[in-house]
Amino acid sequence: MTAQISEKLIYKGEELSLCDEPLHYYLQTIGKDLKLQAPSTALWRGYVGTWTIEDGRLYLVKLKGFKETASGTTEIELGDIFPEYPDGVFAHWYTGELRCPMGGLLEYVHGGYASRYEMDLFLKIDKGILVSDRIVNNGHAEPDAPQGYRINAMTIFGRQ
Amino acid sequence: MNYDLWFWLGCYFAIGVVLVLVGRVLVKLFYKDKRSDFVKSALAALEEDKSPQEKRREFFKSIATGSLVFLAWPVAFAVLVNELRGKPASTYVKDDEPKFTSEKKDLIEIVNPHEVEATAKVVDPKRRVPDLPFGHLNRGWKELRRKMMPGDVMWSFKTSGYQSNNGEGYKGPQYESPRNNVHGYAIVRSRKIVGEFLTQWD
Repeated sequence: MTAQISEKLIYKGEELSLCDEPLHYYLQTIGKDLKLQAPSTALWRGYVGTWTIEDGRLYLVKLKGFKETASGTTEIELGDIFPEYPDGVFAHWYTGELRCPMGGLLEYVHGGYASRYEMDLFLKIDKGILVSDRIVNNGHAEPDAPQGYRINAMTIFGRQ
Repeated sequence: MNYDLWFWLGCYFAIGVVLVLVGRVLVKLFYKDKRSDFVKSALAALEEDKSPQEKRREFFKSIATGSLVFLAWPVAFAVLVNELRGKPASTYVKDDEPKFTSEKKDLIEIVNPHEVEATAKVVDPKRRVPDLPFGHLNRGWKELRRKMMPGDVMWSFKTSGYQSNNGEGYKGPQYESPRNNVHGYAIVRSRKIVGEFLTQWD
């Protein structure tokens, strides 16, 4: 699988690349009828969500997705999935660890979110509530290593 | 004999050239690029960023594909016509047996749906969740309740998931807990799972 475009997470005022897909689980149960379409092999899930941690809670606040319709591909927003909550939803369905890679690139892997970076920020979430955060150091990158999560050599997402 | 062979080969390739050109015109006329501007611009940017080596490889790939199309034009033309006719309504055989995330081994205990519902309210100070059992997942819960028939039993379940960072030499993300533990409720009818509702993913 091609390296995937990440989700975005705003945490403590910074925009990070989120290499997990908390919405996937919601879509698996409720959004089965929503025919999301992959616009490229770098976005198999068919959407990019923007998440925030506000007052210790995980919210999905923005979404840009691609849906298959009779006339082709249509862009969709958060309100198309959550009509009554177009400005944000509390992600109470999610429990687990969210991973945000940071710093210089150690090893590029052209598949999923497998590339390795100097640091990983892990946020432990329990039913949508932030329990703890921790940073794991994975090593030191070369001085000229690309900074920040990216796919191929061009697209840079998140903090550098 | 030799003349005949060359004559027919000439005809074959001449028809091929004509049909390849006709195909090109058909594509120009009927093929609609349904990708959005966002996707087009992203792909164009990725294209620009390719290394000279990658671009050279792509060039030789195009030459090889073009030669193949020229040699085996009846096949290429059939594929093109098929593509332009659009996708078939269904290309796979539907499996009658519904697939569930939970299996018998994942079932934990029998639960009372009323008690489950009473404790499933989700509260959010910002009111970004509906005031219903299981919040945004309420529709899934209601569907499960609808499936319940007299004699059915509701069970809670939890799947086992997997540990991502075990094994020597593992360099990937250092997740602490097992991944893909799915929690939920399942309806069991005659010792068989006939419905499920997923509530939580670890």
